[in-house]
This record gives sequence, structure tokens and C-alpha cells, in this order.
Amino acid sequence: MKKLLLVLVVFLLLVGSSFAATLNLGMASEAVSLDPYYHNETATSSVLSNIFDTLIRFDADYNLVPGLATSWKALNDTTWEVKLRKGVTFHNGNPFNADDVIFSFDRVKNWERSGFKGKVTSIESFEKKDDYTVIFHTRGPYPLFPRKVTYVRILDKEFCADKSPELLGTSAMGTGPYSVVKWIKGASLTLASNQSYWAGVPEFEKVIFKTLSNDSTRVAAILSSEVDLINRVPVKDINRIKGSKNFIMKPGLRLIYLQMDHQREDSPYVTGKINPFADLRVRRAVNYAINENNIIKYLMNGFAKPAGQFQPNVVFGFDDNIKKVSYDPAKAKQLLTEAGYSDGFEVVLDAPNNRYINDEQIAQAIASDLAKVKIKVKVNAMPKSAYFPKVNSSDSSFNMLGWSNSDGDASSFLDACVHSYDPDKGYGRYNGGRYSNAEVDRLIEESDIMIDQEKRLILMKKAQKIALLDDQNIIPLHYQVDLYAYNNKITFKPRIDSHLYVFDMNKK
Amino acid sequence: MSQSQSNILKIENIEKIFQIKVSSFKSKNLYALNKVTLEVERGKTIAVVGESGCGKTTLGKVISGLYQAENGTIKFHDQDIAHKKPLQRGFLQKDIQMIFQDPYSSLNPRKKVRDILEQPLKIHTKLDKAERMAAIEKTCLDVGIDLSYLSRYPHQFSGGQRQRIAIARAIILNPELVIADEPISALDVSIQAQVLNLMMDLQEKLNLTYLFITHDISVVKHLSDYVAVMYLGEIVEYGTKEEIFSNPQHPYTKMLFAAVPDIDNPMISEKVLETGEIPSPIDLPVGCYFAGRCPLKDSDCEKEHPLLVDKGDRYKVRCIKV
Amino acid sequence: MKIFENEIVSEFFEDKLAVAGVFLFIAFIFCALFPALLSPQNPYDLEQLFLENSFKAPFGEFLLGSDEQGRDILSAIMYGLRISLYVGVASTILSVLIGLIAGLVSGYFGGIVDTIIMRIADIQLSFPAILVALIIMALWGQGVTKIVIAITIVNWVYYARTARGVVLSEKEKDYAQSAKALGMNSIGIMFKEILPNIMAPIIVIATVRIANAIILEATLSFLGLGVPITEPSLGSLIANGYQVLFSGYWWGSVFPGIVLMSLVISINLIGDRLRDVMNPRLKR
Repeated sequence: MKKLLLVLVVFLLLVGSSFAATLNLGMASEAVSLDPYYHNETATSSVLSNIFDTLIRFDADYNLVPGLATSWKALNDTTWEVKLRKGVTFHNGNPFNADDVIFSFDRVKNWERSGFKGKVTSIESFEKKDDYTVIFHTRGPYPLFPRKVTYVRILDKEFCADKSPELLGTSAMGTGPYSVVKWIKGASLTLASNQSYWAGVPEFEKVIFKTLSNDSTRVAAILSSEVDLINRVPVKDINRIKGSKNFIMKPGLRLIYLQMDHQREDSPYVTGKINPFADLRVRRAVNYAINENNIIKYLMNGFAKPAGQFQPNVVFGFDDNIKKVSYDPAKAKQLLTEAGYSDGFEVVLDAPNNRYINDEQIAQAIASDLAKVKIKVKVNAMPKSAYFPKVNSSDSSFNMLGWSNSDGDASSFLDACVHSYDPDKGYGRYNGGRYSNAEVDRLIEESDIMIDQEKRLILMKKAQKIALLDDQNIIPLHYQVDLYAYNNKITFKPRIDSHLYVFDMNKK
Repeated sequence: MSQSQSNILKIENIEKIFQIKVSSFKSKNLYALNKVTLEVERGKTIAVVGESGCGKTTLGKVISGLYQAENGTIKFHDQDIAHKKPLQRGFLQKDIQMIFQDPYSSLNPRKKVRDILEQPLKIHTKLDKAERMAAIEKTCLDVGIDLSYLSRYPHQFSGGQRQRIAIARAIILNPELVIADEPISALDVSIQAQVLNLMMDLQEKLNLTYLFITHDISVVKHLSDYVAVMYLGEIVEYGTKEEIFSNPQHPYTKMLFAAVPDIDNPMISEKVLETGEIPSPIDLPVGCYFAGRCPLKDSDCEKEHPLLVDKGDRYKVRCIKV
Repeated sequence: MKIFENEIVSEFFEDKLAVAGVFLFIAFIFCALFPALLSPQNPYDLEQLFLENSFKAPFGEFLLGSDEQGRDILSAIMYGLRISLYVGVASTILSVLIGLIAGLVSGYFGGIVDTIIMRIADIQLSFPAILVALIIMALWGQGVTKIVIAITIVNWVYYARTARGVVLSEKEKDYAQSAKALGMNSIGIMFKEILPNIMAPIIVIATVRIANAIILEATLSFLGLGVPITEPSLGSLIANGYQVLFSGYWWGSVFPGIVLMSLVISINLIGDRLRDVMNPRLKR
């Protein structure tokens, strides 16, 4: 009997201690793949940031800080020299050196399924100077080089040599603070700390990313202390959580906006033969007719920031002089009347129903706002797996999208969503509305090769001003706010890029 | 001969075989009718008698077209109808009508009397609505149905009234032949006579020919002109009523009549069945089918199957001992 | 083809519960037919929705509260009843039609036709109804017409099997034989003679299955595969409310749920009583 008690006590102690060293995270969505070049998506990047390092990385507030590189400098307009950290090893003990960097950049550029090709098109070539120095050559002057390097997670050349792409999708070998123990797709990803991490020993020995995609389940998990932290707290549940758990918000980088069909004369999901969105006055009227403050107040419980332009103020390229237009249905009606739509028109608004916070509800509210200026909107909400292929193939007249700025520079949105659709040059890849203005294109292309950051800022601001204010190419709604809840066992400070970087978290 | 001209129906060597499933893949033949030959004289009543299971109802159904015979012919208006379904018989079918035993089930419970009576007219005549109604009313008078009954449902009537309705349906097309399958056996004794009398009156009035299927000997005595006694799917004795009743020859016929002790209890009683076993219609014996129960039986009876011998004067019998 | 003789009607109303069921059901039908007359708001008309009215608690300005879009729950229930009842009744009528024809043909002709139809029915019955409906809706997508067809595909089997069983005994009865001997064709015998006699059990089953169809629609809508929220049925209202049920806004699910429950109970009361009063007649 005594023995049994002893066993029980030891067991409880073990459980207790292992619990203390384990961090359980309740995630709204899981990584698509553990291959760091497969898909550029926040949930995947968030997980992988714990396993892999990059040469240069962002700190919590979007400042560039050294990672596996100790320093970097431009030798001339098109050549960058990067010095590498010495004494770093991968999780399997292999030493990290310039060969791994060359291998990684080669793979991210040339692997046919790489989802990051677009991020490194301007990096033309790279070569090993010595074991710890790499020279990069860019296609023309490339001021964004250090920011773009943050996308490329460094792989172990030897480890990858004999692995198929499928195997690399489920096994990861990096230099990061945590290594992969077990991945049960759809359920959980277990990580163990890297005791020889170059920046110090991580505080938590074990980290479990649990996939809890159902909002109610995720909230229940934090309330019952099944997990220590959850992301994407449903705005409706904030009051329930506030009482017992810590709750923190961080203004995010994701812009939610409406995109309209600019190009077609006869748009597929609009009644009538003429596309009303081709008329600037209609696009402006829609902007005036949406009561964004109400959407934020009632649908988002206050947890969103009204968006008046393409990016929030932490992003380089933000323009202080652009203010969000205020809600003015009378003005909207007047503009519609001038455009010949005093009786309105009918249109389908495509929206996802499982991608952005309250996406379908926001679309419904927009439909009811527009109904008040006689634009009859039918909301067609669908899961993201069906939605994005539809919108990206321009099979839509009116849709709701989100854009998360992931490198802190306005160029990402300008290049992908504002510039005319031009697949050859790699521009306008997500410009589904096919907005096109030669002057805007010229400004964007010029800013992309401008080394002088002051002049770049002027060019980018000018491009945004023409596209947004003169042409109303899109209708910005709001920036999402990241909402987290966590218990008292940890200290936590959210990052601007929404990544859950466990190395920065601490036990309390 | 005048006899053949006055024959309305000429049945020759009719065979009806049912397939009985003995397992999922095997079936056996059940011989319900074995080479039945019978002539029905116009304007007369022929009674078909026998125990239940002797094939008398099957015979009625073959004639009315509910069953199709495998072999043999049934000549009606010089056409062979033995293998034709009612639908294929066309206008011939108009002249063959049937009265069923149970008036509770032979009238559609969801139809009004008017609709029930109108149905034959709709199928076999081109009368318009008013003419049909006139025909219905005339028939109602003939069979004694009050016109107010027309908009009622069958379940609102007594058995006797229902059988009158069934009779009305059978005669409304002015048929030549009416097959009556035990038309009164389901009725109260007090009603039976009324219905029989009605049928006889109608026969006279409309010059009907009856094929009367029954096991009620007193009914046979009452209204038939000819009697055909059936046993195990074949006719064993045939003759005029007087002949059969005054001098039954076949041992089976004798046994049938003997089982009717008095007029108050005229049904063929269960006692008949007690004397010996009826052979299975699936495995018929080589010799006389009745041999097993026959008091006159000897070894010859089991050797060869006896033929129905025409003794002249419209009398036939199937027994080697006679 | 008269089914309700006076005695049945009077016998039916002897049961007080059944009478209550009838009144409740009539009230629901009335709401569903004339929601515009009774409801404070038209939940389909986006011009009448204001976000300022988001999540108003019940028993105030909105009798049964409002949802996040400012949609009045009471109005949404009335309009939702319409969709739910429409789906229930339309799918039942369709499945009765299909089931009756399949059952009649199968029972009357027998043989290979019977084998094929009944094997299809057996196979379908071996899957849970909700699974069959889910697969169909997943393939076709949302929509009122689609859900009616999906429920019809699920439900016709029950009528077909019942009809077949009754036809097997009815076709041997003398009235059917008599019609056959008269030279009536098969279609006539099936539809004019036999059909009226199998309606009683079919009607009893249909009442029960209407309730079943309404629940099936609600389940599918609850799972997000039924009708879209812009045309709310009771099921999609419950689903919509469920998303915020645990956040304290209980009224969005609870009130449509109560109405769904009452509707199903009222139909079942009627169905039970119908079965009671119609059955003795079948035995006779």
C-alpha cells in the first residue's frame, strides 16, 4: 500500500513537472506542410518560425534583426554580402554553413512547387565566397533585399539530399529553437526544445500546437486550461474569457477589403449588360455607403481598426495624409444617381466563410448597408477552398478579400494587388478585379528598383494615392486585430506578424 | 345437330398448371385442371360441383380470363379464348361476366355504387354519360337496388344488397355467359334464396347462361340444368340434373350426395374428407385419382387412368367400374 | 377517392390532444402562409436590417430578440416556418408520388421490376437517411429545391415499401380481379382500383414523415448543407444562433428550437390520431 502511494506521488510529481515544462497552444488552423517553401500562409509560417531560422528576421515589431546572418551590406547597387553565424548546428548535429544557404536559395527559386518564387524573383544569383560568407546578385537595384530574405528559411543540405518532396513535407530539419517530435495531421504538432540553440536554451522543453479549428472548442480549451494560449479568440467570446484569463490584442497587418470587377463590360454576376463597377462614381458610392464603424462596433465587438488605405501605419509606405472617408449614404445615393443607378442594380458578393474573422457576417452587413442605397447584394459565402480558386480566376464581379502584409513594406500589396495583371513580369498576381492604370504601374515599377528609401516612399505614396483616391480601385474596410487569450503560467507578447514564436515566451 | 349450335361455350382438354416453388431454384408443377372438356348450352345453367381444391374455381377463372390455360381450347363465338387475357379478348369479354363469392371484397370499398356499375360501361361501351346513367338505372330496377343507393359506398350495405350490386355489375353489359363462383355461400341463409331467385328471374329475362360453381348440393338441385362433378382437376361425371341426382354412377358423386344428410344441412360436410386421403395435385397417381378413397377400388383402378366415357344422352362418367 | 368520411372526422376530434395538435398546426400554417401580415420585419429585406439592432435581448424592443445582423428572431421564425413547412410538405408530396408509383408498379407487376425497385430501396435503407442526404447535399450544394429533392430521394423508399406491401394483398382481392376480368388495363387497375385502397396507410405514414422531413431539413441546415442563412429555415436559424449560443446570446437558437419542436409535436399528434382512427377501417 505504501509502495502504491509512493508510486502515485512520484507519478503526480512527474506529471506536474512535465506539465510545467510543456506549453500547449490552441491554434485556429494548422500548418499546411512542414516544407518551408511549399505555401506562403500565416498559420504555416507561424509554426515553422519555431523550427527554422532565416538569415535575417523580424523582431516582434517588424524591425530587421540578425538571424543566421550576423551582418549584411550592399557592396554596390546590385550586390549584397551576407556574413553567416559560426558554430550553429541543425537539430541532427550537422553544422550550418554557406552550402546550406546556397542550397536553400536554390531550392526556393527553382523547386517547381515553391510557393515563394515570387518573393525572390529579383534575387538573380548567389555564390559562396567562403564557408561563412555568401554574395547575392540582384536584378537591378533592389532595396527590398533584406526584407525578402526573411522569407527564406534555411534547410540542411545533407538532410534534404536523399528526401523526396513528400517526405520533406512531413519532416523538418532546421536550426531553430525547437525540433519536430511528432506531427499528427489535423490534431497536433509536438516540438522539443533545441538544447544547443545558438541564441540560448529555450524555456519550454516541449511545445504542442493543438489544432482547434472550431471556435467554441478553442475557447473551451483555454477556459478549462487544456491549453495555455489560444489565438483568434472569437470576438463574441471575449467577455467570457476576460474574467478568468489574460486577454491581449495586437493590431494586425491584415487588410480586409472589397474588390470590384474593373475590366469587363459585361460582368458575370451583375444584372444588366453594363458593368456598373466600371464607373468610378459607383465604386466611390459603395465606399460611402458602407458603415464600417458599425461593422467594427457590432460585428467585431470593437476589435478591428478602420482601414483607409492599403496598409496599417507600421508598414513602410503608410500615408498619413489619406483619411478614411466617413459613412455618407446620402452622398452615395447622389453618386449613384449621377451614374444613372438611382434605382440601383443587383450584384453577387462573393465571400469566404471560414477565412477571416466574421467574414460571412461582414459580407451580410455590407449587403444590408448597400441595400439602403438600392444596390441589391446577394451574398455568396463559401469555404475558402472553393472561394479562392473562384476569385483568383476572376469568376466574380464583387468580392471580399484579405491581404496580410508579411514583409513590412507597402510594395507587397502594390506589386500583387494594385499593379496591372502581368504574369510575365510577376506583377498583379492577386489583382482579380483587373484594375489597370499605366501611371500607377510606372510608379510601382520605379519604386521597386529605387535604392533611396526617401524617394521610394514618395513613389509608393503617389501610386497609392492615384489608385485609391483617384480611381477607387478597391474599398478598404478594416485591419484585423489579432486576439489572444492565455493563462497565468506564461508571459506573452504578441508579434505584429501574428507568428507564435515560442522562444520569446516565458514561464511565470 | 342442334345441340352444337346451341352450345355457347366449348371447352376442350383444358389444362392449367401452376408452378410451385419448392426452393429458390426449383419449382414443381401443380396440375389444377387436367384435360377438362365441357360444353355449355345457351340459356341453361350448368353447375360445377366438387370439394374445395377440386379445380372448379380455377375452371371459372380460366373461362373468365383471370388465368390462361397451358393447353386446350375454349371456343366462344368460334374463337379460342383459352390463352388470352381479358384485355386481349376485346369485345368477346363483354359477354363473359363473373360474380364472385364474397361481396365484401368483390366491390371496391373506395368507390360508390354508381362508379362500380359505371365501370363496365366505360370499358366496353361508347355510351355517353347520360346513356350510362340510364343503363345503370335500368339495371338497378332489374336487380332491385334502390336508386338512392347509387351514391353510397359498399360498406353501407348488407351482404345481400352487396351481392345484388355485384350481380348488377355482371349483367349491366347484357352478357351471354355469367360465371357465378359460389355467389351465395357467403350470405345469410335467409338471404340466399332471395339472391338465387333473383338470378333465376334474370336468366329468364335476359336469356343468360350460368356456369354455377358451388359445393352446395341443394343449390344445384334448385337451379341447375346440367351438373358437372369435378375431382382433382378433372370431370368425373356429367349429366342432366335429373340423371345425376336420380342415378349417380360415379362413386365420388355418390359419396358427395351421401354426405348431405338432410335438407337443413345441405353443405358437403367435413365427413367426406375423413374417408381417405386426396392425392397431391403435384404428384398425381398413375391410375384413377379417386382410387385411394374409393369403396369399389380394385387393382385395375391403379393401373390405368380411366377415361371420361360418353354414355350417350348427355351423360358421361369416368370410372371403369360403371 | 374520398378518404375522410364524416365518422372518421368526428372520431378524430374525440381526442383532445389531437385537437390541440390540429390547432397548433393550423396556427403554424397561418404564420407560414402570411408572415408578412404578422411579422414585425421582413428578414429577407436587407433595407430593414440595421446593425445598431445587433443582439438585442428578447422581451424588449424585439419580442424574441435579434441576431447579429439586427434581424428580428420572431420574424425570422415566421419566415423560417415557411421554408421548413414548404420543404416538409413539398418533399413529402414528391416522395409520396414517387413512392406510390414505385410501390404500385413493384407490387402489381412483381418479378424483375419488383426485385430491382426493392433492391434499390433495401440498399438505400441500409444507409442512415442523414448520411444519404448529406452526400447528396455535399454533391449539389445549398438551395431549397435541392434540399427538397434530397429529402425526396431519402423518403420515397418508405412509401414505396408500404405501398408495395398493401398492393400485394389488395391486388389479389376480388374487386381487383373483377376489374381485371372486365378487361381493365393494368394502369387502370393500379391507379383507379388499388390506389384509393392504399391511401389510408400512406396518409398516416406521410403525416409522420412530414415531421421527419422537417427535422431532416433542419439537421442539414444546421450542418450548413441546407438552405442559406439569407433564406432562413428553422434549422439554419438554430445553426446561426448556435455559433454564438455560448457567448450569451441564447435566444437565437432557443426560440427557433422551441418552434421546431412544437411543429414536430403538433404533426405527430395529428399523425398518431390519424393512425388510430384509420386503422380499424383497414382491418375490416
